[in-house]
Amino acid sequence: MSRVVVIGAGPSGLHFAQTLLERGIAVTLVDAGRARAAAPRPELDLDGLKRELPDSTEYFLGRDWQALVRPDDSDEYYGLPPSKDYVFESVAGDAVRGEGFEPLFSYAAGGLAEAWTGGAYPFTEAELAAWPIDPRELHAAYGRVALRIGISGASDDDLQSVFPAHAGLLPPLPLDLHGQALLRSYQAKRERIRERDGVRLGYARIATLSRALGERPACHACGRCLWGCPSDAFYTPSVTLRECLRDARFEYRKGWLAARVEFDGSGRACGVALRSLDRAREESLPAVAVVLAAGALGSSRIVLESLAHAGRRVELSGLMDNRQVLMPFVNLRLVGKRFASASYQYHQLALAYEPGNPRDVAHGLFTTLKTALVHPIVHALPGSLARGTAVLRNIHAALGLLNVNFADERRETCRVGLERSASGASRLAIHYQPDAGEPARVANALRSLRRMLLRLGCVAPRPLTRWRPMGASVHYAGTLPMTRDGGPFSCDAEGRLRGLEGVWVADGAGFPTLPAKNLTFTLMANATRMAQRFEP
Amino acid sequence: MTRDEPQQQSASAPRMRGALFVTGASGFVGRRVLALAAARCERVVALSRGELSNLPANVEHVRGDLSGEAGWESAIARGDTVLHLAATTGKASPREYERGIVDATARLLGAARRAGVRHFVYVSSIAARFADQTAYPYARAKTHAEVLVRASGLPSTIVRPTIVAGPGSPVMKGFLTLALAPVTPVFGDGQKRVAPIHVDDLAELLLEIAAGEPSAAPLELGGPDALTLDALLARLRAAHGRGAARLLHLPLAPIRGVLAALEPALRPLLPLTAGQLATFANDGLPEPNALLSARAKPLRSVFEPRELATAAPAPPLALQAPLASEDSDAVLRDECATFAQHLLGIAPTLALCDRYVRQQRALGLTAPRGFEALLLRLARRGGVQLALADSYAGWLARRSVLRTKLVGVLALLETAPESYAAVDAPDANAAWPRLLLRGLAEAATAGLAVLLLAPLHLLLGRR
Repeated sequence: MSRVVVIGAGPSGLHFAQTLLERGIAVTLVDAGRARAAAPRPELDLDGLKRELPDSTEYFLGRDWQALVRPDDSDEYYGLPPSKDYVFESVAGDAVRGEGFEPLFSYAAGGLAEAWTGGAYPFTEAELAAWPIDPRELHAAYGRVALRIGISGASDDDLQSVFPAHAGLLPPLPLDLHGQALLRSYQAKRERIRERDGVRLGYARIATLSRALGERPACHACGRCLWGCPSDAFYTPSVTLRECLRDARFEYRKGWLAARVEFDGSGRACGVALRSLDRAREESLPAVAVVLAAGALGSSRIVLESLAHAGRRVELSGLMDNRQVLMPFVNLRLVGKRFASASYQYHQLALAYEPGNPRDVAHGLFTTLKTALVHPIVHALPGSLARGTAVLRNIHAALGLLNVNFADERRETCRVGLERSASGASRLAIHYQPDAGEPARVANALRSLRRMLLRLGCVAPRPLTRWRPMGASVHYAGTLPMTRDGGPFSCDAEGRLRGLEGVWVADGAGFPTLPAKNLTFTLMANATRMAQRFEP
Repeated sequence: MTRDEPQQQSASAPRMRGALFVTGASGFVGRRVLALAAARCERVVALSRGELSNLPANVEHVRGDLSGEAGWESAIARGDTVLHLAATTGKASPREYERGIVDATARLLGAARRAGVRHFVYVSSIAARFADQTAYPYARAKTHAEVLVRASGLPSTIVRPTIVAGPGSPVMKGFLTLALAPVTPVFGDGQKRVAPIHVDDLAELLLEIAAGEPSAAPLELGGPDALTLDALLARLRAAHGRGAARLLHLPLAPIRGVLAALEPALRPLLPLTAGQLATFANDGLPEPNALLSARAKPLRSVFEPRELATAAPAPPLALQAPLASEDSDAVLRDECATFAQHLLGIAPTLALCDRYVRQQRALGLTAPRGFEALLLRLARRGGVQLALADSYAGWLARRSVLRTKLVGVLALLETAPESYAAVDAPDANAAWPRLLLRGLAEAATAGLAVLLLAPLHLLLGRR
């Protein structure tokens, strides 16, 4: 019997599937499905792990030292925790070439969001202006997702106009010491910061439970977020996968990649060609409808491969990603203080930078850097490593990281296509070109933010500020956009892909614009909204 | 000097009567002398501090130190010929030159006199007659030793070779490094002249002299090409197929002044000594003498590629560290302990050092060469030298192997049960004044490190 087939168990695919299940519609989910190993010793806090694991250096640095950030080959401030390697582990045949773009893919059950930092930011009506949908519908979906996954945050502070309120909002987590200090400083200088710097600051919205939700306990601040929350207080899409698996109408086809969509004689999608991860087996899975949710790049690849199989070679344009800039800073008031490593690790405060032009808006997340490895930070400091270590010991409590995200828009020059590699295999080719105005726009924002930090008593040394390459934020979107007018390879408001009957696009590929915010919450809400209206 | 003094000998000259007693037999010149002497002398006695291997049957090896115990003295017999090559060279203190050159020569002269040797040949240096011996204790010691030889009353000859070239020549290696640098520093005007002599020619000439009669006047020995230092550097560069040299003439006096002032405290760290710069301040051409002018066989050119082949561009002064991947576990464990002490003031556990060994093997850092090797070698000495190397790496070699290794140790310390807390603990009080002091200390260390190491960095290149 043919069923609805959803491709990809990321945030989009899982919430699409879960919504269909809630409607009583049977779903088959195709997924590579690399799974996370159980967190060791869930009862221990971060220091406990360092003290009691038989080989703590291996847990934190990795069996192959993959979390060791060497000064001679990396500019990052974080080593990816070895416990999250599975999220980015590649599979055979996923060859890709990026130009101006460093793409990341995930074959994990839960997708790239298995390694996210939990920022859950609804888009405003203004940010949805170019979307061919009714914003109220999406906002209802935000509430529905929030009730499912649990989102903590305030709705009555300075950011309420930037982060619209929705149902299911839990109270914020208690702030750590550094967070409290920053918020106090902001409140003391609020008017000046809002007027002169165009910045508003308040509680972040995070997918972490401040109260128990179903079987999931509230966050107990063990400090292990970055290394993998041992209690599921921190939401990742694999939580939703577990919920779906309890439903008898849910079929999870794990260990398969969707190579392409298959079409019947009338040109309507009738199945999916599957390939096992080791490429040893191929199989055809019949489908009454195919819902692409493999991520903007993954879904684009499937569309391109499907067209190539029918002899059509096209390029998809409009790839978007948030430019991210990392600004480490030191809070001068906290120099020499101690800190508790057993505290929430990801961001608890956020900011909105709103200069005159809405196009220039930036969105910032404050992380207070307590439990990340310090060696990448020490070797980013000037001077000797011994003195850097001594300095870090005294500024660790004062250290913070402002992660600034910038909006992106669809441009013809940012394209995804297929090409033959030297070995003759087909590979994804990504070309990304930022718009000419970007450097000035980002530099202006950074100037204001640096000034704002100074007002908060924080110094953000310019040489330590790093522009991450495009692709690093993994907020990919825009290659199969929802539009009203119906150009080729666009979708309608329900996600139906024009030109390929029976194919829906439920992930970021369908975003017509990309605001400065983390898109994951909107991926889940938009997929939920589409699934509510889905008619095969 | 008269025409028949010294007596001329050819390679086919009659064999030497008695034994040839050679000091410094394991040195650069000594090894060549031994190789020739074995064929030409009845019996050779070779004195050296180290081992000598593969010796022909007629060569007897005596292990001994001219400045040490007197056991070697009995190896000199009546009627022997002494060829005294041993000398302290390289980087040493004035006191060490004094001991290794003046005192050693005095003792050898005493033993030779007691035995009643036929001929005492003292191999001095052209530097012994340099007019400008500023801050050059080696040259002064040679001058002093010459005086002792003349005053000894023994039948003797003083020989003063100029620059000795040939495969493996330490001096030429130094010049070659300069010549092949992107910009070649020349100290002074570069117009002083030299006449490098090939080590095989020198060895042959020394044996001729030893077999002959004593000479009252010192014999200065040079090669066939007399050329200015600028020209020498240019020819070395050309011999390696490189384009024209870019010479950078640096003022000699201030550099010698700075080096001389720093030497007492920092000799092991310095790339070159004030004394070594004397070559740039003095003409080094040999006085003509009958031995050279009457010689039938022409002297070798030292610029033949094969003569320079083994004198490849390598750091002078033997500061090249072995490859990281070839370092033994013990070396890496020691390195880990030294670096942990330096970073946090704590002694790491054996388990942590073992993990470090595994880490280093896994990272497979490319073999450090040139300047990087020097930096690492300094760092392994710990203490002030590690502080200087770390500081230098933190400003001007941020991606060096040394810094990568230090980061590797820090990463282990911050994740290991016994040390993670120390990585995070702030100082008990007065954080701000301490930070300020650290800043000042860093500025001072970095300033000194750059002063000392930046010229070497330029000279030796990045890899």
